[in-house]
Formats: sequence, structure tokens, C-alpha cells
Amino acid sequence: MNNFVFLLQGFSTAFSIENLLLAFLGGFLGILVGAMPGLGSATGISLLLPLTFKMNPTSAVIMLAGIYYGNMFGGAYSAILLNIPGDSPAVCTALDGYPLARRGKSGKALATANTASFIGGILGILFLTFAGPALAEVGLKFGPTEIAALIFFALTSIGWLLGDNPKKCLISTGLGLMLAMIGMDPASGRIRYTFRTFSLLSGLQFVPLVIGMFGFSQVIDCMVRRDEVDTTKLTKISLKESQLNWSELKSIAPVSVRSGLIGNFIGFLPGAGGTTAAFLSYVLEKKIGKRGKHLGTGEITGIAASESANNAASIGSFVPLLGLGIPGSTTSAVLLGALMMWGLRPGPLLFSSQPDFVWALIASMYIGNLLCFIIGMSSIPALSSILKISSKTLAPIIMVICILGSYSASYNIFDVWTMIIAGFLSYYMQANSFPVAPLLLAFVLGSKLETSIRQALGISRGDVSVFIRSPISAVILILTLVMVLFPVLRGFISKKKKENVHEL
Amino acid sequence: MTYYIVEGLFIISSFLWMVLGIVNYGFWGKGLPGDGFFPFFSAALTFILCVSDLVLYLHKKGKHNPDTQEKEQENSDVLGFVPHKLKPFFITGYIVLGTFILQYVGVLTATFFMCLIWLVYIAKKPVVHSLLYAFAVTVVIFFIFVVWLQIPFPKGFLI
Repeated sequence: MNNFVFLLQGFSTAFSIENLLLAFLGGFLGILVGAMPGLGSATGISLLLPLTFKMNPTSAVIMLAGIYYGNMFGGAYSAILLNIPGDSPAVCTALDGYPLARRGKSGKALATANTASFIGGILGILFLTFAGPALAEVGLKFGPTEIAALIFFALTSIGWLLGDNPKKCLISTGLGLMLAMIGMDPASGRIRYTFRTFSLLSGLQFVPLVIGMFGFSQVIDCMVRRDEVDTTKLTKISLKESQLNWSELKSIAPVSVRSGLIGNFIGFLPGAGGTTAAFLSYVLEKKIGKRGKHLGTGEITGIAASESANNAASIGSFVPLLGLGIPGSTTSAVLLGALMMWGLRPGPLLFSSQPDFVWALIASMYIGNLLCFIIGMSSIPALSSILKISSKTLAPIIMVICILGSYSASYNIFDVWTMIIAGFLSYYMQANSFPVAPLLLAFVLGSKLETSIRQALGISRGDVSVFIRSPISAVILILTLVMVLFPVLRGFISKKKKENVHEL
Repeated sequence: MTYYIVEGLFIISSFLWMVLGIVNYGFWGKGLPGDGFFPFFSAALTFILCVSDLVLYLHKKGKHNPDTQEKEQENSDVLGFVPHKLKPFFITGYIVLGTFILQYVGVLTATFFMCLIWLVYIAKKPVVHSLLYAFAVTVVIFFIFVVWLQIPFPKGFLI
């Protein structure tokens, strides 16, 4: 009952003119950035983060949250119109969206994507409304031991869930932890790893690091890769063409609801995110959907499955972020850094100590989701024209924003150099299959992990078995072990099976 | 080649972190973890994984392995006058130059010329189009960062 009252209070905050405008602006910018190929939600938020420096934390997060899920709406545009996903969760959208567009029904494809995104978003926000406080209640029982185990689980799971090369993910994680150690030790106040550089006394700044890793490195990547996107096939789309009839709505509604529920669960898992949710929902629709066999040829149910799961997961990732202080995705790791920058501590205490902030954010998501749907549907003709702008034209703007955004963090030119070095290194890391998302997650959570471990060991007077003696911590560590060992065991078992078959 | 450099950098830095963690900051003391305890373990994990990754890579060297080789880049027609392997350096050099100009000449001047030079010589857009575009970007940057956010940028001798 209390939560319902808080939610109503949150609506009254979210309905202020300033916050409504910021939700609109965030949604619009999110859709715009999401529509651009190669600029993912993490890039969008990191580049637009400096715009929020002068705002109060509630308004700033409302805008950033708008950018985040607006990005999920926008990612479908280039996927459908150009067969280039705006970000990785939109890969599955392209599988059916692009063939449908080639049949001259790009308006319908975009309308399907927007509608499914809206339904998935609503389910995600409902999940957040109920699961967030519930998880925070559980989280209140967590002491430093449990928090350390949970962060360890989150850092390890992102490595295994990201898939391609878990070892390189763990290397990135280790590097992120090392970078987090630079500056003043939170426990003792000792200065570490600054190499007598005054600007490093308070550690590496989060904003220039994230702008470099996701903004500047993207510019380098776009300029080095082949950039010529064939935009001649982009035809004008009218609003009339972007309508769904009743039978089309009926066919995508159950798919969107099912995919949204999957997205909620996946988004909840640390490291999983929209990409995993979109893939799983698409594969499930292919297996059990009425027209599953036709997926890949231009089925609107394929688009609906991907987009609904994607949006639900993006909002679902707020549940562990707000409830436990553990980001559920790369972009929510960026948001976590932003929240900490404003002095907010996401975690179990946030719901009890800052209910105004949390419930205003949740309320604004209901409004923002609706705004994104309206903006998305009404700007289909305009946004498809904007896609004609090539990345080599956008590159200088992005570089300027990278410089100015990094400088704005603490008015120190050292931060700009940090951004440039981070971007340069990040480019070569990704070129050599080292993902940067685990590095960022580890950087954001590293300090908290160290503090929790030292507190736990301090309480137990140096006895390491404290992590096993705590039941919650033991369960989490066992889950971590299962997650680490399962792919290895599965590979070993399948290899044995192949050998047995070969012998027969 | 870049793989060796990246991996080498990680190995050296993690080794340095480990050594400093134990020697300078203390691993353990008075029954409690010291300031170097956590950095040592983070760096040790990184060091061991990097060394094992490098050893595996060298072992498989010469065989086609998309997981350990640098991802092949399709050559871009942008920056055609720059050798492919030097393109990241060129772009980084461009932004470094822009940063210097910003410090000593002024933020708006830097913004204008960064956009203009890139559009004319790299994106190969018409000069008039580029001038208008650069001017529009500069105006927007002025209103967002200088007027709205009131960021105190370094004062150059121009604007």
C-alpha cells in the first residue's frame, strides 16, 4: 500500500513541466541516437551524460532513463530500413524487418517495432514496480559478505553471458578492477597507483572513461571500417503506411506479451541485457509461433518478439540496479556510474532513504514509454530521412562532443586526455576481441567490491571462510561456480559424445 | 601485431600492479587485508589470464583462429590517403590537435575548424555546405555548453 502511495507521489513529480520536457527530450534523443547505426545505448548515454550536469539528480536520471529506453525504440530503424542494427539487440529485428521493408512494407515493420517496444516497455515497468521494492527488501538482509559475493557473481556472469571468449571477458574485468584501484583507497585513505600525478588523486573520472570507451572508440571504428551504407534504397514513408490493422495487432499482441515476460527475466540477470533477451525470444517464436517456420522472410511476429523482449529487458535491468546496486546490463552500468556521480547510492537502502527519487523515476518511465511510442510512431517519416546522414559526416560532431563532454566532468583538461587514451586503447581492445563492457562494469563496481571484502574480513578478523559460512553468500558463490563450470562441462560432455559416436 | 602490443601492455601493467600492491601498499597486516590485498588479486588474475591467453595464441600461431586473431577490417574508403593501419592514429592525432586548439585558441574556434576541415578534406563535402554545417554545429555547441551548461572552458586568444 505504501508503495502505491509513493508511486502516486512519483507521478506528481514526474508530471512537472520540467520533468515531462526532460522525459520527452530524453526519449527523442534516445530514439535519434538509437536509429544511428553503430551508436548503441551506452554510447548515446555516455555522449549525452554531460547535458545533465546542471540538473538535479531526479530530473537527470529521468532524462537518462528516457534516452536508454528511447534507444531501444530507435534501434529498429536502421535494422529495418538498412539491415544495419542500430545496436546489438536489434540484430534479430533486422532478420524479419529488412525483408519486410524490401517488400515495400517498411512503414508496417516500423509500426510493429514501435508497438511491440511499447508493450514490452509496459511489462518491464510493471515488473520494476513490483520486483524492485521486493528485491530491495531482500537486499536489506545483505551484509558486506553477501554484497561482495553478489558483485563477484555479477562480474563473473557478464564474462560468461557475453559468450564469445569468456577468458578475454575476465581479462577485461581484471583490468577494470585495476583501474578502479587508482586514487584514494576508500578504507584507509591511502593514495594508490597515481604515479605522482595530481589529477589522479581522486582516481580516474567515470565520465571521460565511458565517453572514450563508447564514444571515441566508435568514431575510430566507424572511420576504419567500410562506411558506405547504401542509403539510395531509403524511400519516403508516409504516416498512412505506418499503421497496423486490427488483425495485425491481434497477431503481435500475444507474441509481444510472451516476449516481454522473457525480457523481464533476462534483463534481471546481471550481464544478460537486451541482446540475449531478443535472441531468446526470437528463437522461441521460431520454435513455437504459429508462423514460426516463416520467420526470417518478413514476419511481423519476428519483429515483435525481438523488440518487445529487448525493451522489457532494458527496463528489467533497472530492477537489480535500483534494488541491489548491481547493473543488469552495460548501459545500466553507465547509469550506475552516473547515479554515483550525483552522490546517490543505488541499492537496498535507496528505496527507503530516497523514495521520492526512485518512485519519480519509475513513474516517469510509464510516461516516457508512452511518449516514446507517440514520438516513434509520428516521426517514422522524419527519422527514416535522417538515416541518410553518413557516419563520416557525424564523426566531427561526435569528436567535439567527446572533447567537450569529457572536459565538462570536472573542468580539467586531464580528463580529455583520459578520454582520448581510453578510446584509443578501447578500439584496439575490441579489434582484438577484448570486450570493454566487463571493464566498465568492473570499474564501476570495483571500489564497492573491495570495500565489502575488506569489511567482511574485518568483521571476521581475517577469516576467509566467512564467505562460505553465510548461507546467502555460499549460495551465490555456488551459483557463480555453476555458471563458470557449466559451459566447460557442457563442452567436455559434448566432446566425449562425439568421440563415442566416432568410435561406433 | 596489435594483439602482442595489447596483451603485452596488459601483462606489464598487471605485473606492475602486483609488485606495487605487495611492496608499497602491503598485502596483509595485523590480521587484516592491507591496501595492496585487493589490487594484488585483481592484477594477479589479469596477469595469469593474459599470460595463458598469450601462450595459447603462440601455440596456435599460424592456424586460422578468428577468436585470437585481430578481426579483419574491411578497408574503408574514408581517409583513403592514410594507410589502413595508421587510420586510428590519424583520427586520434586529429582529436589531440583539436584539444590543443581548444586550450590555446578557444572552444568555438576549435569546434568550427574541427568540423570544417574534416568535412572538406576527409568527408569531401562541398565547401559551402561544410561552412554552413560547421557554423550550425558551433552555434548549437555554444548554446548548449557555454550558455546553458555554463562550462568554464579555457580562455583561448580567440573565442
